Amino acid sequence: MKIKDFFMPKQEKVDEERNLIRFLSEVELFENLTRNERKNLSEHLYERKYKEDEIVFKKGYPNVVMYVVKEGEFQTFLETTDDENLKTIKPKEFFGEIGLFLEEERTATIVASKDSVLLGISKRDMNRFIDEFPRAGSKILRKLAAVLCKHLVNTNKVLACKRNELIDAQKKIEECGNQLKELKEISNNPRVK
Amino acid sequence: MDRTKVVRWIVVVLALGIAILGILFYESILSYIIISSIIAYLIAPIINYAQRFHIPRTLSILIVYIIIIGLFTLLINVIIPQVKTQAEEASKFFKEIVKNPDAFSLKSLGLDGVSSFLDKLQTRFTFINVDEYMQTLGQKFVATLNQIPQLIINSVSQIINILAFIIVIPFITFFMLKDERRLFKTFFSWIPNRYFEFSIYLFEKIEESFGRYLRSILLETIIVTILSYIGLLILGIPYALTLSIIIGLTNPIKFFGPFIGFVPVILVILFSPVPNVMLFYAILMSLIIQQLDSNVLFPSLVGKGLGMHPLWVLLTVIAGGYAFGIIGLLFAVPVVFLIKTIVQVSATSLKQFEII
Repeated sequence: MKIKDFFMPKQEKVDEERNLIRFLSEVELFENLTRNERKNLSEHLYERKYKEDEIVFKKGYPNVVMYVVKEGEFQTFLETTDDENLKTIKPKEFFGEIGLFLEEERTATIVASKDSVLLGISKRDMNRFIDEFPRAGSKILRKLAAVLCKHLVNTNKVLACKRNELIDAQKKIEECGNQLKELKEISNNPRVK
Repeated sequence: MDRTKVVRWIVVVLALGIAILGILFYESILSYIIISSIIAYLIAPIINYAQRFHIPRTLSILIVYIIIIGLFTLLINVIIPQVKTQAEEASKFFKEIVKNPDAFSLKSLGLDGVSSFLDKLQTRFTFINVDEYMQTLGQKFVATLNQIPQLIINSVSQIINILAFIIVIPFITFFMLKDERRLFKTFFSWIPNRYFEFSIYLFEKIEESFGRYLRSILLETIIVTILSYIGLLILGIPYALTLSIIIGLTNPIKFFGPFIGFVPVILVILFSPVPNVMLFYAILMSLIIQQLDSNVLFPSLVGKGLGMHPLWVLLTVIAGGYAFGIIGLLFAVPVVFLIKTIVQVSATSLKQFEII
């Protein structure tokens, strides 16, 4: 054993770290960060491997960790896993970001739909990173705000669409009602007979 | 039973066996690891703070080490000789007093008023003999004082052990600080997915309350020592440095600490040429510092406090004292507080994470 071994990490570890840093640059949330900032961030990331059908967390659990999908695919369920899949989360996307801002419980259940790899960062570590590296932190927060805004716009669009559909449906119901009334009147009118 | 289940149980038993064997094998260095991790834990915020300014961890750790070595040399070269001479002087001083047969009577302590009052009392109640009582008490005190050199010699005989301590602990601490994140990563990578979030939650909650407690106790000790030193210097009481260090070190002992720390002050004032009125001022000073400590320092540092009932804290201190002596007095409350936090946090979060 050489003294060097005490201070220098193994080559595989170095490669692994390099790959992780490169991967982070492809994630939308972290794409503006410099290499050094990404390196610092990567020190806080826990790599977790999930098997198919393994539950990451369930609705109602405390918000502790935010995840970025590295490989694989995840499905979102509002209540139980028997429900309809709300959204499929693909690599380079993230989830659990609500916990960064709100002291709320998990709002959905996340299940791996195939063998997958996640990068988890604890909420506290993330907040600390933002505090310790304010420049990097503001970049992340701005990106996160943009992503959340995009979600909001999309949700609004969907909502507007559904609202229009609802109004149309209402109109149709009214029309049907009117027709029914007319029919009734006709059937009640003996002269027509 | 299912075959896979049997295999799983065998694996669990084997793993437990290996863990126990490992602990037994590394038992002798377990204390090193615990002490190193406490030191690393106390230093870590400085290193993390330095990292903000892109100072490499290794460099900042070395800088902190150099500062600590500097402080130690200062301690050894300036403060310890001073404390030593003061202690020796005090010891000689008390030995002189013991030679005087009437040493510990109230009259020779200069408490004439109390003495005459007690004389009156004694004529009525003959069974009360305060002077005799004081005499035996004083002799006991001097006997303990005489044992101190022997105690020091005993500990010096363990010097080789201490040397290993001095070399090994900074070494372990260095790597704990340098590879802090990697250690965490390795540790959490062992935990199954089902318990991953729970363990992070538990770890963070415990760190939040207990870590803060530990750091603030250290800060509190330093502040109280400095305040008492200033106070004793102003009052012109001899051996101020030694006395204030004793006050500071006993301060973290809940309830009893301030009193234990104040006993030497009382003795010094009574036996030294300092006018006895100073006792009043010294008590006043100690009261002010204690009030400042418990009403301003402790709440602002520790925050909500321990969340333990005062009676429970009191009983814990007494039990710790009975079981482990001075060490028990000092560490009973933190250890019980740590266990209480673990139990409390896991009780609620185990349910939240649907583990039980």
